[in-house]
Formats: sequence, C-alpha cells, structure tokens
Amino acid sequence: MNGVWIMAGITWREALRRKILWTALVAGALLLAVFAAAMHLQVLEFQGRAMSPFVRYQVEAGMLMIGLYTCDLLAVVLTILTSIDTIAGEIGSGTIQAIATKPVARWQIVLGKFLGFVAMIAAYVAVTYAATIWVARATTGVLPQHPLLGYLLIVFECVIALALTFLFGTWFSTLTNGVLVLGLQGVAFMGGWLEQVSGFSQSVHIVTLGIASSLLMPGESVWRRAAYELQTQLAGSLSFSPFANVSIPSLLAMGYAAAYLAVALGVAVWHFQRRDL
Amino acid sequence: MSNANGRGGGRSGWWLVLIPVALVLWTTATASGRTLRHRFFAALRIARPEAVSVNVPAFSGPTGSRRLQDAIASMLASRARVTREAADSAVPDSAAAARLAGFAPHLVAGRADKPSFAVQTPRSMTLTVDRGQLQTVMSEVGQSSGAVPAGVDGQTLTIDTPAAVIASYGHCPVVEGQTLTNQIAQRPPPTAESSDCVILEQRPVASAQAPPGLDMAQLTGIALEVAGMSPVQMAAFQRAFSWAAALALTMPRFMRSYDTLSVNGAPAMLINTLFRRGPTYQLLWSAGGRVYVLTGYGNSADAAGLARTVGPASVGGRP
Repeated sequence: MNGVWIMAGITWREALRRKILWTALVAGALLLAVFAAAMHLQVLEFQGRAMSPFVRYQVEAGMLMIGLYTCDLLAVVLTILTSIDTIAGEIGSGTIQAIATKPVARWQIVLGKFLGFVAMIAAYVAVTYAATIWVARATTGVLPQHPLLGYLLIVFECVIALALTFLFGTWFSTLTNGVLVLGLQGVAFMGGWLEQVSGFSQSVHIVTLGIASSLLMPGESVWRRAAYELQTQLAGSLSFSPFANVSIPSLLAMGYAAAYLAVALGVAVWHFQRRDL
Repeated sequence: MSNANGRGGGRSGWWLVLIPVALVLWTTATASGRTLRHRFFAALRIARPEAVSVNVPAFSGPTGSRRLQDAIASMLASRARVTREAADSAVPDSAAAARLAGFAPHLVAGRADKPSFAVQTPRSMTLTVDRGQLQTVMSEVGQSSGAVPAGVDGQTLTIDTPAAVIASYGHCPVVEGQTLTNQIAQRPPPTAESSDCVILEQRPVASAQAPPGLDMAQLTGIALEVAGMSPVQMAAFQRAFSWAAALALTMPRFMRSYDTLSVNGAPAMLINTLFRRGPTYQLLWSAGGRVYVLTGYGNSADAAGLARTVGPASVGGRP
C-alpha cells in the first residue's frame, strides 16, 4: 500500500503546485461573497416587515439550502474539471510512462491518484461548506439540521463523479472524458429536478424517469438525500424551498451509489491494468 | 508502450456494455423483470416523512383550510392516530341536524332563503408527544428559549372535536378537495351566481387531554404562526379565542387581511381570504361554548351584519 500513499501525496502536491486548489478556493470565495450579500440584503428586507418568525426562518433556511446546493454544484464541477486530465492526459502526453515504469503497480497509481483527489475534494468542500454555513449563521442564525452528514454526502457525490472521470480516463482522451462525465452529470441533474417537480405534477412516470437517470448517474440523488438530511422534516415538507421533500432517495439508493462508485473505480483499475500505455 | 503490469487491450470490455443492456431488456420485456424493476425503483425512494402529514387530508373545506389541531399534531408527533374521523352527511332539516349533532343549531335570521344542512360527525385524534420534534419547531418560530419539559416526551395527547352543523344558504359552489391535481386542473372560479352563498358552520369547542407541562395555549399560538399568521395577528386571534375554541377551527389557507370586531358582544375575527377559487371572507367567533365560522362568497362588509342575526332556530327550521 506504500505505493498508493506515495501516489496520493504526489497528486496532492501536484494539485497545490498547479494552483488547482487555490483557484478553486477563489471561485468559492466569490460565491460566498454573493451568498453573504444576498443573506444580508434579505435580513434588511425582513426588518422592515411585520412577518411570522416561522415564515422568516423558512425563507432564510431555504436560502441556506440554495447556498449549500451551489457549493455542492461547484464542488462537483471542479472535481470533474480538475481530474479529467489526470489519467487520460498523462496517457495522451506520455507522462504516464515515466510513472508506470517505476516499481509501482498500476493499481497503486490509479488508487493513489484517486485518494489524492479525494483528500483535495474533501478539504475543498470542508472549507466552502463550513464557510457557507458560517455566513448563514452569522447573518440569520439559521443552521442546517445534520451538517456533518450533509458534508459527507456532498463529498460522496463528488467522489462518484471522480470515479467516473477515472473510469473514462482509462479509455478515452481528456476531452472525450470530460464530455462524457459532464454529460452524465447533466442527465443526473435533469432527472433529479424532473423528479423534484413531479411533486407538483404528481406524475408517476416522471418519478420513474428520475429514478432511472439516478441509476445511470447517482450524483444528484445523493445531493437530494443530503438536502433531506440538512432540513428539518417540517421545513422539508412545507415546500418553502426547491429542496422540499418530494421524492427522497432511500438508504438503498445510497447503497446503490456506493456500489456504483466501487464498480466504476474497480473497472477503472481493471482496465488500466490491462491497457497498453 | 506496455509495461510489466499491462496485459494488452482486447475487446473483453464489451461485457461492461452487454450486462447493462441485457438487464434493461429483461426488466422491460418480461413480466418478472418488470415486477422486479417496479419493486427495485420503489425501494430506491422513501415515502414522504409524516411529520406534518398526519393521516387526514391536509386541506379541506371551501377555503382549502387546515384544521388547527392538525397543525398542532404535526408539530408534536411524527404520526397521529385518528381514532374517529369526521364524515360529512347531508340531512333534510335543522331538526335532523340537531339529532345527529347532539345540539340545536343556530341559524342566520338575516337570510330569508331556506338553508341546506349537513352534519360533520365528531373526530378524535391521539398522538404521542415527540419532545425533540416540538423543540425543533419552537426554534423555527423563534421560541428556542422556551424549553419543553422532558416529562412530556412519549406522553399521549388526545383531542376530541365534537360534531358540527353546516348550514349553506344561496347558490354555493360544489366543494372539491384542494389537491394539487385539482389546482393544476384549474377548476373555474366561483361564478357571480355564488356571490349569494353563505355557509354557517358551528360546533361546540374542542377538548384535549394533555400531559402536564404541555402548554396548549402556547402550542396553539405556534400553530397559528405555522399557519402563516404574524405575531401581531396571532396575538389578536388568541385574544378572541381560547385554545379549546381554536382547536375546533379551521384556518384559511390564504389570508389577505384581517379585522377584529364584535358579534353580539363576543370578540370575532374577520378574515379576508385570498383564494381565487374560494370564498371571499370568513368570520370567526366563539360564544356560549360554541365556535362559529361564517363563510361568504359575496361582500365581506355584509359579514358582521349577518353574523349578528345568528340565533336559535324556531320550529320549522327558521330562526
């Protein structure tokens, strides 16, 4: 396993050297600035109105969910953009030959790089996620219900996208890899939101379509489970935000997502072992 | 290049495509596959949590209103057991209504036309208090400082709502369930013909067997805020109605404005509703151990005048 940790360390240092993490944090800071301004303006707006504290709380909690969702989307996109090049690009440029000839097994290269990215993503999400919650807490006093579980689920969603970029990276070029993973993410996004609006149209077929798309790419359903965990049951059922409890992924769906991740990573390792470099 | 680990490419990866394609074909083309797919898909999602969806219709009545007691139940417990559910039944006259409801109904003397009668049978609901859930709701309405006594956790609360008599005057629209489907289907709004419709609903106040330490007045206040009232509106409402009276009431789903007034000496609240396919006002008051709700589709300025003519029916069903 020593080779795995070495590769993970190299990947982490590479990310720092190429300023990937830092530029991602700048993007996150911009997002936070907009979020903080929006929350502040909302508080000022509410101060001039006589309104129910309950309604105010729900609106502010809904805004926090929007902030966390944006944080989640940014993390997933950054995961894909920063990792599509790591295997496909190194194969394409021939850099991989300098790594794969060393006494490190190929599975250790894939797993090491993967763990390096997981550490980077976990750190990135921790910073932006905690900062989003802190902004909401400081401006409105609103807090999510199960913040740690929500954090773990968002990281989980990113790691699923990461496993896919590794899987396709062992087969295709960087560009094709990016198109494939972003395309699948788009399918998951659309399926998830269609399923969400099915609560209003009460269409069983749309729910089925949403579930089918979550089987193809379970990332969005992991977010919706996170949204369910982050809100109180009362808030989730009141339709105050677009993240109301309409169709909530079960624990089995989370198990499926974990199996999906394991299979994607397993196949990536298997194929990288077999392919010509 | 191929290093020592590599074993060449080949077409062995086709199974990665063939297996999912075979699975999709099997689960769409065969009966057993379809059954399994339906079960699997159903298991991938959980039902909506029941925290606020007690086992009764969420919205009912001409205003798409919600019973205040259901809002309280949803705050206190994740599940409420309705041991006796209210059901509407039409009756020919006030005497029959009195027999079924167990009290003689009052009628609107200000209306010359003959009303149609319906009786809503009594309702009883039992729930087990979830202290954690109540604490969460209290923090959401800004009452996080008010601690809920630990002793109430797991205790039983029973709310009994007596029967109601509903007297409808004029051309009242047929009430449809305010489901999402019905709203999406865009049922037409009440016609001008319905402007003469007035509905008087009356019932004795509700009773509750609550565990010690559970402040029913405070809970009613929170339920009013959850129903959409501001703190000022909630305070005005609680000045007009005891918690027992409030529990017997239904709150309009949409409220444009409200006004406090008096009906024959009893404090009352006139609520102008904001519901395109519903009535224009609801006048609520409590007197003599009963709560009254006068719902109208016409001008809300007529409400107080009509309410002041509400009194005991004489022989033959006229006041």
